This record gives sequence, C-alpha cells and structure tokens, in this order.
Amino acid sequence: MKKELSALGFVAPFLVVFSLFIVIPVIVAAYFAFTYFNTIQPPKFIGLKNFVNLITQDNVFMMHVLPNTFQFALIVGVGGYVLAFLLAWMLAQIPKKPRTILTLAIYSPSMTAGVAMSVVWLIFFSGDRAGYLNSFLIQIGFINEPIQWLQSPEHLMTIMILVSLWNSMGVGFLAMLAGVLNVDRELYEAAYIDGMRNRFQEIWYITIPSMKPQMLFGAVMAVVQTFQAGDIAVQLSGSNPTPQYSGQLILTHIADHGFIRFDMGYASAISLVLLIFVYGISRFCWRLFGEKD
Amino acid sequence: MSRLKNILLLTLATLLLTTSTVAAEAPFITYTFDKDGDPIYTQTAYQPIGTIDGFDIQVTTPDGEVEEEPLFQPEDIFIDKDDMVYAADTGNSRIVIFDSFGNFVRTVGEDVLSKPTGVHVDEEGFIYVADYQKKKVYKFNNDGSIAFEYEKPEATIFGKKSPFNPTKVIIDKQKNVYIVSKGSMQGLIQLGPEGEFLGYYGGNQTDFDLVHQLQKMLYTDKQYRKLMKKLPPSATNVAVNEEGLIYTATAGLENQAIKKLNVAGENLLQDISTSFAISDITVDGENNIYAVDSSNGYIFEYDPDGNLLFVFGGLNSGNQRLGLFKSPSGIAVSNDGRLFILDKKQSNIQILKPTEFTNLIHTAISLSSDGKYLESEDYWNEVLKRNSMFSLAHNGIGKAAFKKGNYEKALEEFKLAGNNKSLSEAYWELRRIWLMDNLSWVLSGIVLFFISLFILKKLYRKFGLGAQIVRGWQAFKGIQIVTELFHTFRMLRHPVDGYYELKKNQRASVFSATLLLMILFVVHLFTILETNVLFSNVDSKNVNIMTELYKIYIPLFAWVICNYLISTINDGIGTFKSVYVGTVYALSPYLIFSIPLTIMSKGLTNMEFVIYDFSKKAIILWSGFLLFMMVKEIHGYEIGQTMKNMALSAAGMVMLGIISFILFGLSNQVIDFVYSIFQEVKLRVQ
Repeated sequence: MKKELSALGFVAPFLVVFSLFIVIPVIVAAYFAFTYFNTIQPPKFIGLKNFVNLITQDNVFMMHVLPNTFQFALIVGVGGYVLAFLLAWMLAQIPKKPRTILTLAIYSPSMTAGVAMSVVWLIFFSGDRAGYLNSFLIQIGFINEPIQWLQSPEHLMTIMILVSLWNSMGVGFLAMLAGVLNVDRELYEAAYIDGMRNRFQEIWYITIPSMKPQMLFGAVMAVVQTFQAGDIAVQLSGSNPTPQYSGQLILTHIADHGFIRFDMGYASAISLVLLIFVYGISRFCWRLFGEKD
Repeated sequence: MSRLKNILLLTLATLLLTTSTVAAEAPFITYTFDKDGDPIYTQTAYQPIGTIDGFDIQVTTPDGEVEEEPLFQPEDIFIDKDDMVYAADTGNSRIVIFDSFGNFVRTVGEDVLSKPTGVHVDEEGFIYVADYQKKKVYKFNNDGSIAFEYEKPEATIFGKKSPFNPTKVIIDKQKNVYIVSKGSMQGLIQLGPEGEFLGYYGGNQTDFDLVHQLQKMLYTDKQYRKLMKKLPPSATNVAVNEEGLIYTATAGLENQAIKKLNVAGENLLQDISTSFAISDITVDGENNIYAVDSSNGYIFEYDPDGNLLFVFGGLNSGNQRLGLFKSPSGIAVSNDGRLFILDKKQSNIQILKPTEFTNLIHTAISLSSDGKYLESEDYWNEVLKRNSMFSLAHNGIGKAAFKKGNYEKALEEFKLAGNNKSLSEAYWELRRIWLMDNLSWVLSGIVLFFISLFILKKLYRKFGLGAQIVRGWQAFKGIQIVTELFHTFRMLRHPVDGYYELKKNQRASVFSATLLLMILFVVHLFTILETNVLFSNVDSKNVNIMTELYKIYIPLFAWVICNYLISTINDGIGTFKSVYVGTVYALSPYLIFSIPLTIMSKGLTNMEFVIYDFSKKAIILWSGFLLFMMVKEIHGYEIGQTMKNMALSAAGMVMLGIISFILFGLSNQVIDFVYSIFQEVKLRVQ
C-alpha cells in the first residue's frame, strides 16, 4: 500500500497536468456534444440531436467534408506512410554521413511547414501570371491564361494532398529510420545462410517483422497527422469555408462551426465523431502491426 | 465525331433499304440520341414548305428592259426582329430583302457592294454588310444610304500586317461590331461603334503539342522560324442571341467547333459533338442553337445547354427535292420558329417548318431552362407519348418529379435519361429520408451489438457460456473442404506463407479451387448486376450470362495454360495443378471483398465515389500482388525472373488468342469445304 502511494506520488505531477489539460477537456467536450451551447448562454441539453443533425441535416458534412476527409486521409495517410518506410529503408542502405544530411533534408519540411507555406507554396501556386507554376506553364505554352490554383475547387484538393505529402515525413519517418537501422545485422546473415536470396525477402521476412513497434508508431502518427490536418486548406486558400467546400476537412468543419459560428455544442459533436474515427483506425493499426500478446 | 459516323452509316443503310417514298413529306430522316449516345429515329422535326429563289426580283437593265435577276451564290442570311429576311446575294453584289413569306421587297447597296458575304441588322434597323472584296464593313440606313464604313483599324495593337478580310459581321447590345476576318488567328475583330479597335475576341486555341514545345526549346530562333507554324483556325461564322451573348462556329475544329462566349471570351458550352464543316449557326429566341453543315447538308439543332436535339437534312445528289441541300452556307430562324436555309450552290433559300412534335419540345425546353420544371412536365409527357426514347424528356420529367419531392420517380426518370449527376442527387435525397427515419434505430442497434458482443465474450471467458457453439464452429472449421475454402482468408494477410502451405501442406485441392472458381462466377454476376447504377457502366438488362462466362473463364484458363507452359521451359518448378490452384487462390481479395463492396455501393452517391473507387482499385492491386507472389513462390523464382515470366505469359496469352482465332476461322473453312463436297456427292449420286 505504501509502495503504491509513493509510486503515485512520483507520477502525481504528470497525472495532474494530464488530467487538467487532456482528460477533463475531452470529458467536457463529450458532454457539450449533447448540448446546444453558443458560448453566451449556458449549455442546454438536447440529447442525440447534434449527431442526428450531423448525419441527416448537415449537407456540407455529408457531401463535402466526409468524402474530402476520406480522400485526403487515404492518399496522404497511406501514401505518406508507405513513402516514409521506403525512404527510411533506402536511407538505411547508404553510409552514415550522407545519411545524416539526407535525413535532415527529408525531415526538415515537417519542421518548417509554416514558413514554407508562405515562402514556397503560396508563391508557387499563386493565381496570377507571376506565380511560378503559372509562369512556367504559360512559358511552355500549356496554358494561355493563369489558373487560380488555390481558389478553384478542382485544384485545391490536389494541391493540399501534394503539400501534405511533401511535409508528411515527420516523427513517424524518424522512428522508422531508427527501426530499420536497429535491426540486428546478424539476422540478415543468418537468413542468407538459411537460403534467403534477395532484398525483397530481406524486407519482407526480417526488416518489417523486426521493426513492428516502429511501424505501429509510424502508422498511428500518420493517422493522427492526417486527421489533424485541417489547417492546410485554410492556409492555402486563405478562407474558411474553402472555395465551394472543395478542401473542407473535418477539422476545418469543426473550426467553422466552433470558432466562426460559435456553435460549440455542434462542433463538439463533430470532434467526438473525429475522436471515434481516429480511435477506430488506430485500433486497426494495432491489429495490423501490434504484438499479438 | 463517332456520332456523325453513325449518322452517315444509318442514313446510308436506310437509303439502301428503302429506295423511295418512305417519307412523303420530308425527304430526310430525323435523328436524335439516346442516353448512350446512339442515334435513334424520331419523328420528323421539320418539314420543308417552300423555297425562295428570287425570280420575282425585277431589274431594269440600262437598255430599259426589265429582267429577272434571281439570287446567285448567296452566302449569308439574317432575319430581323420584324421577320424580314436579309440575304447577302454575293454573286449579284447586293443585299436582298424579302418578307417572311418570301416575297421580294427591295434590294440594298447595289452600287456600293462588291462581294458581300455577311449581313446583320441591328435593333434600330441599320443594316451591316461585310464586303470581302472591298475589305470593309458597311453600315446602311434603312433606306439604303450609307451611314458608316468600318475599315481596317489603324491602332498599333491591331498590327500593321494583320489581315482585315471581313466575311461575317454581327452587332452586340452595345453596338460594338464583331467581324469574322479570314486569316485572323487571334479571334473576332471587335470594333467600337465609331470603328475604333477594341481588341480580339474569343479566339480559338491550338492544342498543346509536345513535339512543338521541344522544338521551341531546342532550336535556335532562326531554325524555329523556318518551321511550319502551328496556327489556330479562325472562326467561320458567328451569331448573337437576344441577351447579346456571342456564338461562333469554326469549321475544321475537332473540339469546341461551336462556342458560346461570355463577355471575357470564354466558352460556356461543353464540348458538343458536331461535324467538321459547320458553315453557319444561328440562335432562336429561346437560345436553341441551329447549325448547318456545308459538306453533308445536315442541320443540327441543340438545346440551350448544347445537348443535341435533332439531326436532319441531307445532300442533294441531283434529285432536286425540297429539303435536301447542295452546299448550305447560311441558316436563320424566324420568330415563329421556321428555319431559312440558304444554299450557295442551289442559289436559293429553303424554308422548313417545325412540326408539332418540335414545337412541343421547344416549349418544354424553354420552360425547363427558365426553371419552371413543374409547368414543363405536361409537355414532356406529351413528347414521351410520341417518342418514348427521347432522353431529354425523361430528364425534364425527372426534374419536375425532383421538384415535387417525388425522388423515387425522379430516380427512375434520370436513370432512363442517363443523367448521372441528377441521378446521384435524387439518390442522395432518398438516402437522407431513409436515414432520417431509421438513424436512431441504426445507431442504438450498433451500440447494443457491441455491448452484447462484449458481454458475451466476458461470459464465455468466465463461465464458458456457449462453449458448445465455439466448439462446433471449430469442428466445422476442421472439415477438410471448409479449411481449404477458408484458406483464402489466410492468403490475404500472409501471401508468402499461404503459398508455402498451399504447396507443402496440401492446404488446398483442385476440388476446392474449382469450387472457388464457381463462386467466382457468382460473385462476378452479383457485382455487375447489383452495383449501384451510378458507378457501373453495365446495363443490367443487357447482361448475357454466356458472355460473362466467357469473359471470366477464357482469360483465366488461358493464363493458367500459358503460365504453366512458359514456366516449364523457364526452370519453373510449379506443376499444372499448383498453377491452377494458386491462380484461383490469388483472386481471394476479389472473392471476399467484392460482394460487401457491391452492397456498400448501394448506399453511396457520386459524392462518395472516391471510397468506392479506392476500394475497387485496392482489390485489383491486391489480387495482382497475390498473382505475382503466386508465380514467384510456386515456381521458386527471383523477382526479376517472376516479372519476366509474367510478361511472357501475357504475351503467350495474346499468341494463344491469335492462334485460336486463326484455327477457328480455318476450321470454319474446312467445315464449309467438307459440306460442299458432301452436297456435290449427294447431287452426283442422285
């Protein structure tokens, strides 16, 4: 008993902070999800109505937000994940010095995303004649008029995906790199003696099984990252809602309802749905990569 | 363009089949198009009712004699708001004015004009004439005196060397003059009311050409200038509607031959299918578009959105029948909807009157495009009574039903019309209604299901509740054939181990593979029949089971045979049996996920297309990957060898196809040969 108390004493600071900033807000948000709350009047309990409205009344959510989020998450999440593994594996094959430099180069976009957004992407996709992409396309004669890349519904999603893929090599990538590097070399040698013949088998039979924890971490990070990416559409197009809801993701939708329309109850309901999504997909990743026992 | 080809073929066929007097009134057949874009007959849309050739034009010659001087090679026609008909009588260097019954009224500009090729009359009655030879556009007062002359603009931005060869002319609401000039690549020449140059308008574009770009990058300026320049064609003809929007037609363009331009000169119409040789277009008061084809004599009619309504007319090959043309060069439509078609070679104007059927459609279209779907419904129904294939009518009725909230009917009608976008919207509404009614049930059902599952698990672990069922399930899984069938699930996650077990542990047999092959066919049938119409391009009414059977099994067995044969000469260790079993098992993802996906597609609309599309592609990729692993594991290949083997197998399948095609053809010959000998012998014996 005393032992437990002293252990509790050690984790107490963390527990306090954790519950203060994570647990309590989540519980409160979960409660708000069942209320009508406009931040001025006290919240009014309305039961499941927010959720029913979300599915049956909110055309924007069903027609744009959900499909967009799925498309975005499938391409950026899965694509970024596969890319991260491949890059990590390729980097592991080269000598240490260039590897360190390349790692830094590949990791840097995710650190400097904010700066790059204003310095690189906004200028690159600028809608006037002077934007890099427009200028280039006009020069080679592919188009005659500049295209409003960031304001036209047809292009915004593609650009969001491109930019997100570009800076998706975050913590997950580093973890995977560490994982690949830490696979015991002797395993490969042993396997070659046992009749393994090529690189593909190396990856399939040894690298992936040995770095399952890192793969899992990378997968969960990818899921969280893609579902949390919502700002990017607003940053690129400069408006929320995005042009014709073409780049509206769940998080953008939450921000729209919560901080623009001050419909906190509804925004909390959407957040809760998002939480369930992320939890569900994380469970799926656990199933795929987690240890059996 | 394939549409045009179809029309040509159909025309030819009908001409051959029915030599004469099919249509006593109209000498041509009218077509429209069904939802798949195939031509279908429809009622005659327009009937020829007469010609104007100008034999009543009396001219006093210098000798004092009075002569008839009919139209000669006229090139353009215009009908003003009072239904007066103006024809640019190019051959006789004058403008001729008729009333709407074709009676000659007077001529204009006889002493001034030299080769008038375009005529237009504005709302105040000024007559604008483009004279190709004098390189001027004249503006005549209504009494025939000259009010203004538009000449080649002096402005430097027009370009000193730019050509000014006006062939057609129109005026917009602001009295700006738009001139079609032969050889002006930049577009129409736009002049202000006083003749000042405002700019080029609505030019055509050349398509992007990679080779040309490479040349531009690699060659020096001198070399590049020597090359044949690729230039956009200039417009052939132009029209303006009542709102002042400008339409252009360009002969020789493959895409966007007919354009509807906004103020900025951008095309508002989708790429509409038409012919290469459109010589004139016109727009009626309800914005329906009419175009005439100078080389085949066809007349096309489009609705305001550019959907093809009718194609009719034809070439006059010497039989001089009313309603056929030699080289129609102009088309105009009167206020009551009659078409006036100017023929340059026949030097006359033919008048075509819309039939009752066409009038119905016009009324319905004009109501629909004003958004009065409910009012248009009766007209569309009337149209359908006469021609149930008219897809535009189904579309109109669908829109009316949608407006009334009768989404099920709307769904049916949009399905018949092949309008996928509206179909998706109707489906969406239906789904929303269903969700509103059932959502609370479904949500609580899901929650209850998970709770009960959780409790059952707990109970089983604690008290062994339902242990018999679990044991029974395990025993069931232990049955040989069941294990073999369930092996498909193992293939999904562990392809390499799966194939190893397939080979070593006899986890699958020829029997189970054959059983799966049969299931495969059922799955395939289910998929093509039950997939949401929004996503499938298969018409479930036209599915032929035998064809589907061939489609599935012939390639599959060809693959198995070829792969086996190729790998035997390429150090592959797989037996025929293992290739067969392995191939079938490689299709596990398709077998397992197709039916759930098909069921899921029923609940999706166009908006969620990406989910369906992604899943579908994932299944195919997964199966492809398994096939790859199959070849690799069964034959014990390296990756490179596997790829080579698969490529060779594919080539082998092609060869097999060609050989069997030849054999089939030859054997037919042999059978014919034997049969004729038999006949011969039989005759001789008798």
